[in-house]
Amino acid sequence: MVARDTDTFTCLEGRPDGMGFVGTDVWNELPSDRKQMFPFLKIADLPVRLAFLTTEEKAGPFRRKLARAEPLLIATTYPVGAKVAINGLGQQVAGRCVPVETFDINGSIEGAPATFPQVDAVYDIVESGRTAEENGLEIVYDDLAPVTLGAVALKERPRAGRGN
Amino acid sequence: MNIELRNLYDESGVIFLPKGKNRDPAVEALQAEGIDPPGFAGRCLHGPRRR
Repeated sequence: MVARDTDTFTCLEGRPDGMGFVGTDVWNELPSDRKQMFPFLKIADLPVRLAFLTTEEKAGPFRRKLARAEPLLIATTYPVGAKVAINGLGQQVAGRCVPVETFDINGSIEGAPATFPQVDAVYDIVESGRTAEENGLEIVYDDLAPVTLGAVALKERPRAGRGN
Repeated sequence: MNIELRNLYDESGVIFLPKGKNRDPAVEALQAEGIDPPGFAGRCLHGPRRR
């Protein structure tokens, strides 16, 4: 069956004898108890990474706010990853933690910096960067987290037995 | 060969194949294990179950 990666865990709860595939971008967002429920078996590194992107007008202010450790608002599907990334960048750039809030959205994330004045940047998956460019975004901080594909299944589950 | 992936597959009654960017790498990983996901030519990967 075909499932969106974000729906895979729900699918596996409905079919506890099943297995699925997700990237670390999705798996890392799970709370720790859910991570223990769905162990991650690494399969392959994917040719994508997570990055901060924003419009040309907001790129300078975003960099300055980060350097001054001023509060940031990030639109993302990956709020946990975004906070970890800002924390890492804050230590690097400002030498301290930077307060960050996330604006959680799914889909059409590229439009967020232009649509919402208060959003400083988006944190999203980047492959070639073409989609970002087509939407008037530039990559401000790149290669913040690699993405690995893994197989997942419920840790405690009935044994179905496939055998081919 | 990745024994764990093979075992996981053998013990599973259904596979949820990802949509989008993760689909091809998932199928390639299964095929690297000598597994041809049943029904891959179509859309459904729900293979025959054998208890």
